[in-house]
Amino acid sequence: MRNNKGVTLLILPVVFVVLVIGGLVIHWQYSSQGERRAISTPTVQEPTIADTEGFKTFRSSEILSFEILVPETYSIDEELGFVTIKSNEGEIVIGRNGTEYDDLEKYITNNRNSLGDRLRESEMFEINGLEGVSGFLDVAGSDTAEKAYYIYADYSVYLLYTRNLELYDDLDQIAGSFRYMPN
Amino acid sequence: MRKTLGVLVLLLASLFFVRDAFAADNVRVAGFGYPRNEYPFDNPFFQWDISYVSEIVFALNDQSNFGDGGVVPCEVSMLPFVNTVSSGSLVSGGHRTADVFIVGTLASELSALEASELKSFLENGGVVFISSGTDDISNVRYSNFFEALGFSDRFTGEEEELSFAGISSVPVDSPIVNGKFGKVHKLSHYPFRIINFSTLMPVALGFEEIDGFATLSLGTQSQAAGELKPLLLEKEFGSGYLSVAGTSLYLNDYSPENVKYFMNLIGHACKEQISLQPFLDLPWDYGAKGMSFSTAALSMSAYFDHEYPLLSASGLNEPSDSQNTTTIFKGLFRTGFDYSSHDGYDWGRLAKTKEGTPVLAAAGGSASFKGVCGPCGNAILIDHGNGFQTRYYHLRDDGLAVNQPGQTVQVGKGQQIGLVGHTGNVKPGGEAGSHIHFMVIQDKNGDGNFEDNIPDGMVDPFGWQSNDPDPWPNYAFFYNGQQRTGNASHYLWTSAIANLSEEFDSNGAFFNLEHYGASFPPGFTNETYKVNMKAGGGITIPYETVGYPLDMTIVDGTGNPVTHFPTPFTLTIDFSGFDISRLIQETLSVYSSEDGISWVKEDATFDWDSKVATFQTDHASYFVLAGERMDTTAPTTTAEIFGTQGESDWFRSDVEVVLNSEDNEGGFGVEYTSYKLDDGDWQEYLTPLTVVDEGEHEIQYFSVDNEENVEEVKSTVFYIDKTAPEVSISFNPESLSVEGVGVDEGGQTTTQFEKTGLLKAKFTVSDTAGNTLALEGSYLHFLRSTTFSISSVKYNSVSHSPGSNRYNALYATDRKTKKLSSLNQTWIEEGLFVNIFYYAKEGKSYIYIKEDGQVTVNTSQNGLVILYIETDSGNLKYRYE
Repeated sequence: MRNNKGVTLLILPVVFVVLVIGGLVIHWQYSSQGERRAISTPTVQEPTIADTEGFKTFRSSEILSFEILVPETYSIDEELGFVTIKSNEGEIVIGRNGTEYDDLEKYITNNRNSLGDRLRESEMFEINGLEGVSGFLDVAGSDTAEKAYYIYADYSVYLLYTRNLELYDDLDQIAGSFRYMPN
Repeated sequence: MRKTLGVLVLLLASLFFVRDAFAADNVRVAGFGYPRNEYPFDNPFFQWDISYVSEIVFALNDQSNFGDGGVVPCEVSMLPFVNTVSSGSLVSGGHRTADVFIVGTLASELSALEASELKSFLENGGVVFISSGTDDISNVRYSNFFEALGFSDRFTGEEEELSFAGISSVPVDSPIVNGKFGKVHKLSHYPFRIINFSTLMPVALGFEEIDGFATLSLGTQSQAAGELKPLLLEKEFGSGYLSVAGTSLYLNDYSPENVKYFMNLIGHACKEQISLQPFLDLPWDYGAKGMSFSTAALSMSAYFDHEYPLLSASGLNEPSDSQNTTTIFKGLFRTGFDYSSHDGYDWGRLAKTKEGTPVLAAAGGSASFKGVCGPCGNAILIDHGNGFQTRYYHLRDDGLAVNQPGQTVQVGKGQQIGLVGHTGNVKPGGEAGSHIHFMVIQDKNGDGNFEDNIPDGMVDPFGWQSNDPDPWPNYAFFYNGQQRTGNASHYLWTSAIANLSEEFDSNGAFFNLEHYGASFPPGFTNETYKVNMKAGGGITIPYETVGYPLDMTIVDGTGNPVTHFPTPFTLTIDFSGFDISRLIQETLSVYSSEDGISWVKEDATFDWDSKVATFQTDHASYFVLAGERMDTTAPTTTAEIFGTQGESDWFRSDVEVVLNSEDNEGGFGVEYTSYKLDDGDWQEYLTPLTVVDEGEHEIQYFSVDNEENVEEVKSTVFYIDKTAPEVSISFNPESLSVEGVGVDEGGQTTTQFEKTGLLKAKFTVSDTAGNTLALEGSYLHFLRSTTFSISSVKYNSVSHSPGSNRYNALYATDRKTKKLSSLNQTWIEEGLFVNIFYYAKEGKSYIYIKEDGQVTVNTSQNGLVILYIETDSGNLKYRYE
């Protein structure tokens, strides 16, 4: 018993010190994340299309250099650097921004349109080997948010978005199939 | 000299910069007549002997102003002026019945119904002019109209002077003040009282000269406290336009500037398409970077924000609900693309314009160095002499074409003016953020100064590519003491962007189908065309084509094909991937055909280094690159037959057939040889053929050379007979001798008899192929008796030894007739005795056969029966008949 008391007395300060240090480390990590980026709760997922039946492959021109799978019944049009995917419910737009940043996080965080602050429920993805971020942007005068994917490839940021609630799932599928096809 | 020439070219370019694309419909001018309007346009002399309204009417009828060859291509047609406007009288079924409506100075109230119709007229693109009343007329008469338009303004207490009052300062720029007849500089006007112009744009303010007679009135009513009083107010309604002025603007005093204002007003209703000639190229050598124009141009890292491109206008901010969004030239509203308020385009890493890349003049002009500019860093400005200026920001300190404020240098299109750098505000900071910021400004007020047209002169060189309204030219704002509106954008690139949707409009476009390229220049069409390019089939062309023909069709917006065009477009044929070495180069030409049968040579130019044929054409049809072949001679093929040959084409062994083909001298070689054996199918000849079957054979063959010259079909016949003949020996009653006759399935035989000893002989039968049958034995012919026995039967080299045998034929003849009177034929083998005796007197032949001691035949037949001794595969047989 005497020995146990002695051990207990010895362990308690050690446990206390460990808890304090651990707490500080955890606090520092959370606080530094909050300062470092505005993207909330980064996770790593790989959205994929499990079954490609009912989808058709669309390969863009060399101007945009990508390939996606699109529901067969949807029409696709590429013009002036933008791809428009239309269904009866609405449309999904894919366009591209050049960037001088060498990764997506820097692009989002330093974005002149304040994407880092405005992108709600953002999630980071890896899409076919590419960095990607998805999230929602409020649209002035509309109850429906814009769902958007930002995919980084070789100083390009592809933006895939829709403002139709009914097309959110299709956008997920299309974004999950996105492949960068450089010339 | 070169500089002078450059300036001359610039001057010429500026002269041709704005052009009328085509004549337009008439501008229909309507309005209120007398007495509703006291000073109507349709009767300028009604009230006054000399009315200045007449000057306007004269100008409207001046063909140098309107119509063919006029400043504005529209003719002016005056419609009957009316005293009332009813519902549907100005706009019916969405269509206007007039283009301009002169409300003028009303003598009575504008009714609510009239106000509603005028509002509809405005909203449907009509132009409306309202003048204030005279001093004895209350301006409340327009209240219904302004209420219908949602204005709070009233013509409360407007005052009209009775004589000349003053001349305005330079009016504020507007589409009417700075219209198709030029800029109106100073308006002669009487003042009318200040009104609330929060929703109407004042375009002419104050006075710089004041007549003494009016001074008192003006001083007390219009210029108190130094206020600027509006003389003229305007408002755009889409393509509709409202002008509000005092009556005196056109009534009491004549001023050429006032007339010009009305010319601009009427000219504004002329909706003819004014095409701006594109004049810009991208400001770096994208071709040297391996990029096409389309790829390079669309590799921007920041777009022009069509909603509020206010970045260069300090103190102007976007409304909160549009901040952080960018409206793209494609018509995409408030997107997440970069970046809000941006008033130009950025090209950086994606466009391969890294630090130090030469920045080139997008067009020729006068280059100057912008002085102090924190955010833009080193900036070059080029005035292109056509009312447009381009700017290039963030340039490096070195390599600048001009680096002192106030200096200018003339630069040519594509001339280096600086290097890509990161001076000023770039993100990320430092070299990593290097890019070109490129922007275009229009000198909207025509004063030669571009700074005072920031931001309202900002232009997107990609134009506005949407049927939705462009927000920028419809944005009205107050800046630097002036009311302003944004600017319309036009596609200003001299190169078209690849159109991937098969449709194109006035921006032009180019399309590719493998080695074919079709480039439609900006301004080629004013409507939407759809292009279909496919490989042509079912055509005939008397030349050697290089690749497949192009079948190009173009349809308009209603789906109707358009085959001929007023202006040409450019077609290119890249033949670098084709071997044309076998064509006579001088004959290589581009041909076109509407029906695929009759071909017309196009006037094409050939770049033999890049191997591209380029030509301009004004029609859509079949097109093909073709020429004459150097080699038009077919190759020659011969057949060699190998085997054991007899006579002529007969062989007594398996046969090997070898086909030898050879192209003519100077030809390009044999591509292939085909053959057909007997009734078989045509096959490509690859190796010699072996033919084993006996009988007659025919081989047909021809060759084709690498120039597609086809040889006529030849044929060779040969025979194979590997079987030796047989022989049939019998007495010939005609020749009265014993003869041997060859029997051979293959054809003819020859026989040879030779005595080989006193009582020995050899009888040989040969067929055409050279196969032989040789019989050897004893032989005795004496008088009328012939006797032989066969000891050896030899086929070619194979011998057979038959058993003992003997043949005898003994005959007698009638002494008188010398004809056969009797014949005794005997054939004896082991166990066999055959005797046939013919007796002519009885006309019978007696046949007696005994086999193995047994008489098997003992009979007679009428007539002469001949006994035949025949060989059969080495055996000896007999028969009689």
